[in-house]
Amino acid sequence: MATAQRRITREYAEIQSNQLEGVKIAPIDNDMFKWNIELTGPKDSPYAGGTFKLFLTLPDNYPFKPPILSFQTKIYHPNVSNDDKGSMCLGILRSDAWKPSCKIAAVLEMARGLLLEPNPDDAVEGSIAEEYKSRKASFEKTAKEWTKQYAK
Amino acid sequence: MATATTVPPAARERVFCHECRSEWYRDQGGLVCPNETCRSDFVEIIENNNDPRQMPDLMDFDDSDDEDDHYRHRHFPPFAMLPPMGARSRSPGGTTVIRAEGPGFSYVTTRTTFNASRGGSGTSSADGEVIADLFTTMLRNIMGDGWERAAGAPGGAEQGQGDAREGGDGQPHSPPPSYGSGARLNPRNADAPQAGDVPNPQDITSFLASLFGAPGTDDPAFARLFGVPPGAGGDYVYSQAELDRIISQLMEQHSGNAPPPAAQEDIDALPRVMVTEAMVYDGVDCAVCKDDLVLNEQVAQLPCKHTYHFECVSRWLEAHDTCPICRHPITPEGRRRERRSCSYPITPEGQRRERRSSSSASGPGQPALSFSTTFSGTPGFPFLGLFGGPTRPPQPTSSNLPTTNQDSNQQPATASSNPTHDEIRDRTACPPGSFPTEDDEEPVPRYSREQNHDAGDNGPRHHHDSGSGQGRSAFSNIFRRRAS
Repeated sequence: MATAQRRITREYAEIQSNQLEGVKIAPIDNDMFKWNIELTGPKDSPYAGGTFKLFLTLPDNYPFKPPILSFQTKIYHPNVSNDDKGSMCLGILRSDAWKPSCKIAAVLEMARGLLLEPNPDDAVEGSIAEEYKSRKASFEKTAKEWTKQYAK
Repeated sequence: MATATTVPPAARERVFCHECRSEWYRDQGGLVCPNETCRSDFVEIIENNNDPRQMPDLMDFDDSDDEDDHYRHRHFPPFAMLPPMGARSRSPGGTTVIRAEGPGFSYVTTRTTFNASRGGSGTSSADGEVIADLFTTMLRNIMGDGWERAAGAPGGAEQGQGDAREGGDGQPHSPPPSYGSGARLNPRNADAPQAGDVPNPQDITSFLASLFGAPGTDDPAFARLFGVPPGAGGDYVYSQAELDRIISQLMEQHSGNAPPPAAQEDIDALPRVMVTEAMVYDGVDCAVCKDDLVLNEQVAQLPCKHTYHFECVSRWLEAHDTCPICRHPITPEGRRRERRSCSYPITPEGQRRERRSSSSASGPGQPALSFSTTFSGTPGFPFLGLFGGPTRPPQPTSSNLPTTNQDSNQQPATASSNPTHDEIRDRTACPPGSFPTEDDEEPVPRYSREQNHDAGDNGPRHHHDSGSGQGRSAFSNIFRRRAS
C-alpha cells in the first residue's frame, strides 16, 4: 500500500508537470487510487469533438496489478464494451501482459491512441469490430452519431 | 384425446361413476354421481374411444391377493404412482385420461395401467422405462400443462390435458382454470374452483434444484426440460458464443496465461550490485517503485541486467517470473524447460505445484484433467504443453540471451497489443533463431485436434497452422503457437 501510494503520487505529479495531450486527470476526493479521466476525441477520428469521461481504478497492490480503466461515457468502439461497465480492452492492462514498469501515463496515452486507431483483432464488441473492418464508413457514421449524442 | 372432433357439441354426454358404476346424462346429473348413496365425484365421461365400462377391474385397489390377475388396471393417485421397483412392468394398456369438469373448473388426471406380474424379478430396462415415464407424468401433474409449454417436450401419452376443458355441454364457457391432478394434494371441493395457483415451472426448477442438492439447471437434461434460455445454464454452455464467454471469464480469473511465479531460491539468488555513479548519472530508477537509485545503494540485478530494489522486484517475481521491464524470466534456461514440461500454466494447481517443487517432473494428471473438462470437445490439445517440452533438442543456454542496455530501460509500454505471441516468446525465452520450428525432429507424436480425428496414426506429425482453420478460437491459437 505504501509502495503503491508513493508511486501513484509520483506518477500523478509527473503527469501534472508534463500534461498529456487530450487527457485530463483528477483524483476523486483526494483518493489517489481513483481518478476521473477526461479524454478528448482525437482530431482525425470519428470521436473528434467529444469528451469522454473515464474512471481509472488503481489496485491496492499497484504496480503489481494493472489499473482498471472504464468508460463512463457511451462510445461506439470495438475495444470498449457497450454496457454499463464500459470496460476497455487494452492489451497492456491484461494481467498476462501487465508489467510494473508500465506507467499510468502510458496507459492513458494508449487509451487515447486506441480512439485514434481501434484494434479490431482484440475486440470486446465483435460486431463493431466486424463493421470496422468491413464497412468502415458505416462504423464511422455510427461512432460520430454516438459521439454527438453522448460525448458532448 | 380428440374430444372436440369425435363428439359433436350437441351430443349428450354420458357420465360413468367409477364408485357405483351407474350412468347418467351429464346435462341431467352433472359431474357428481346422482346416486343418493354414492355422491362420488370419481366419474368419467364416456367417449367413443374411451369407455370406462370396459375396464371391470378398475376399482380393484386391493393388491394383496389375486396374484394371477394378470392384467390389473389401476388408478394411481398422483404421488402414489411409482410402483415398487422391479415389481411391475408396463402393460400394453398405456395411459388414459380421466377428466371431470364443471362451470368453473376442469379436472384432469391420468390413469396409467400396469399388469401386475409381481414376484418376478422384472427386467431392469423395462422398469427403467416405466419409472422414467412415471416421473415425467408426475412432473406434468405437479406443474400442469405449463410444464409442457415451458419445456417444449414431446406430448407423450398424456396429451389429453390440452383439450381438457373442451366442453360439449353448451354452457357459457369462459376459459376456466385447468388444474393438473396435483391439485388433489389438497382436499378438494369438486363444486367450486380449486384454491391455489397452478405452479410456475420456474418455481419447480428451483424446487427440484434444492431437492437434488445441486443446481437443477446444471444438468443439460434439466435445462432442456425446464426451458432454461438456450446457450447457458450454470457452468454448462451449449453455444459457441457462451463457450467463448466462459473461456474469457476463466482466463481473467486465472490470470490467463500470465507468467508463473519464480522459485523463491532463484529470487534469493539474484546477484546484488552497488549502484554506480554512471547509473545515477543516467537517472536509472527502480522500475517498480519508480524511485531513483541512490549511489552505493545495493540493488538486485536480474539476468537481463535490469536493476531494482530487491524488495520491489522480489514482490513481483513471487507472482510472475518476468523482468518488470523486458519480461525476461529469471529462472535459468534448463529449469524453465523442465517446469514447463510438468505443469500447465493456466491452472492454478499447476502454478502452485511449481512453487513448491521446481525439480520434480510430476505427471500431467491434475492440470490436464481440469483442463480437458473445460474443453471436452478437444481433449487432446491440453497436452501440447506437456509433451512438447522434453522432446525438444537442447537449447543454447543463457549466455546468448538478449541483454538490455540499462540506458534504454524506460522503453515505452507498447508491445502487448498482441500479447499472446510475445507472451509465449517471452516465457519460453528462446533467442530469436533458436525457437523451435515445425521442421524440428519430433520423436514423440504431438497431440492436437487433428490427432483426435484419426487416432491410430502414431507416426511423427507435422502440423501447420493453416491446416485446420474453421471454428478455431483465439484460445486454441495460443496453444498452437505454443506448440510451434
